[in-house]
Amino acid sequence: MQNRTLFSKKKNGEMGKMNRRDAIVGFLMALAPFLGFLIFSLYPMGLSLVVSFFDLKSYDLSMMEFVGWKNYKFVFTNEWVRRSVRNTIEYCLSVPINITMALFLANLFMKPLKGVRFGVLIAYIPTVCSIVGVTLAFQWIFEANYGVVNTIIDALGGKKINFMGDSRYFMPAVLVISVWMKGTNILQLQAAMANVDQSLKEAAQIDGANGAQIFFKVVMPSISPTVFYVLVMWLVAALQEMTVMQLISNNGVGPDFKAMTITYYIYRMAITNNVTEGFGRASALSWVFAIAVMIISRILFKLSDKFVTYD
Amino acid sequence: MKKEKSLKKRPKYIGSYIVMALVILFVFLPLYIMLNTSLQSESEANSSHFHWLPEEWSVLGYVSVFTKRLAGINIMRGFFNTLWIYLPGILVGLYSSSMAAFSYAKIKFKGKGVMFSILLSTIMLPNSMSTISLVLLYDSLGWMNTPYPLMIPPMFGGIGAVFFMRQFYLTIPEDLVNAAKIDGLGYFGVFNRIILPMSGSVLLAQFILSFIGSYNDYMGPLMYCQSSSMYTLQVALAMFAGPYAQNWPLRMAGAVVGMTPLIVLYICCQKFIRKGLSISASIKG
Repeated sequence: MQNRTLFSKKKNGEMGKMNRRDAIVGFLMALAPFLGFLIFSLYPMGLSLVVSFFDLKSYDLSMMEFVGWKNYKFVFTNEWVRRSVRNTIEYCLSVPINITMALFLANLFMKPLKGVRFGVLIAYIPTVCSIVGVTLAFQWIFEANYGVVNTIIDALGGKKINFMGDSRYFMPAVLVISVWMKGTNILQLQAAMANVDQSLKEAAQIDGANGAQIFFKVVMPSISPTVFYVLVMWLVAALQEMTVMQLISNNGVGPDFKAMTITYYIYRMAITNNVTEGFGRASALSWVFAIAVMIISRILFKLSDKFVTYD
Repeated sequence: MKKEKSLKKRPKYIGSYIVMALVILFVFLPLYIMLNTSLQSESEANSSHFHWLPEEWSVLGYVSVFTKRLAGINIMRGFFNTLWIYLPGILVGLYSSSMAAFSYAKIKFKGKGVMFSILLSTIMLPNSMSTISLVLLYDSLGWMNTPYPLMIPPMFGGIGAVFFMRQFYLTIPEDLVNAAKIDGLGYFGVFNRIILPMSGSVLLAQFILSFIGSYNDYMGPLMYCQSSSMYTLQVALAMFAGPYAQNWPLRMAGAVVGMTPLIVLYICCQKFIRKGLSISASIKG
């Protein structure tokens, strides 16, 4: 938002006065990240658009064979693609859970509690934990025979659940991992809450509002831009999740294909199953998917005007 | 006045304390289970009773992690691979990012607005479009199974880092830059001799953020760097999964060893990291 002022700032006479040499130096100094973007983002994007119209079942670009819209036809008609879309949407259930939890925690840690600093310190640990280590830990916790959850179920007289091998329980188990890792990521929300006008809160308190009323009527409206921004960013990230799936299924497909999110499917088509599926299909799917993600976030930003208050 | 208030509110805060304790428990539990299992013997871990403390303490898991070659690589080697593969990219990238950030914040040149808004818009771009075809790019450059894909691209500087440091450079008074320029320094000299030395804390914050990201990076090395002598710590850890599927003490010991450096780093400089994260988080999500 603050960048808008930057562009509209100086467009008139001052440009002429400025030193030509300085301008060249300034341009060169700013160049590296932009070049990096051109070489390592824009070029691969273009390349993948081209490849999406070809058949490419190796890493060698000279082996490409033009197939027209065939790969796109595959994307829109294939049963597995449809299921990967479904799995991705199921995984995205983690976003509302995570943001509710993060809001709740951020609000909790705003209270004048003793040891609140320690609480924040601990709560934030998952964010620096490596996803590989965390997945290993939860694979053990949800292990089919001797995992902690199953020993507890067993002790209570229940039937053991094969979380990692049963398609009904696979996604809920993955969601728990996601909540542990992301639901505790409260930084931005906390920063936003710290900026809420204290006098408003106090006024509401004097008027006899309770905690929940203060939260929904005073705090939420003033942090709604941040909440919304976090929501969109987390949703875009969740839509693209594949690392957890790759790890927890040991580079397999999970029970009944459940581990297969869209990006993980793209990865498997291009890398793991390069010989049978190849880069063509993977590129077509990644372009369709990327455009879908961009449309979704655009729509969300358009919708945001209705329920986000900027003052 | 304040005291009265807090006295009145006491019953309400008891609930908050309980919730806070539950939250801490929720975060701690998986970490504790990991540590607990890593100190058990293999037969105890794979028994039908869960013990909250190891009945027979065993450091065999840790001994194996540090001495054995697992999945073709020793974990310490993986740790050093992580360091030497990523550090050059992080350090050079830090320099190019901060230089660009300074330029975007303080120098006027044609096309600045366009370049900056293009960089800004890439943040919302799903990177799934480029990850796959980067394999093709690296392969045609002959970079596959070398450390270059993890080393060279970060040297150009990260977009997040540029935004983060630009926020800082915007707060530097214009007069400081102008005074240095009157003394005959060009912008490049001003940056190197004056700006860079005074941005130590921001650079360190950004360095730690990049280090956390690189240390935990998994998909990158998995895709672009598949030879086992070059496995980073994270890839080496993940590779245990196959051959040691039921040796949970070993796998948990590996996870503990892999996660401890960052947790210690975080606890030591938590204020610093959180401050840096809260600024850059608003950029990177």
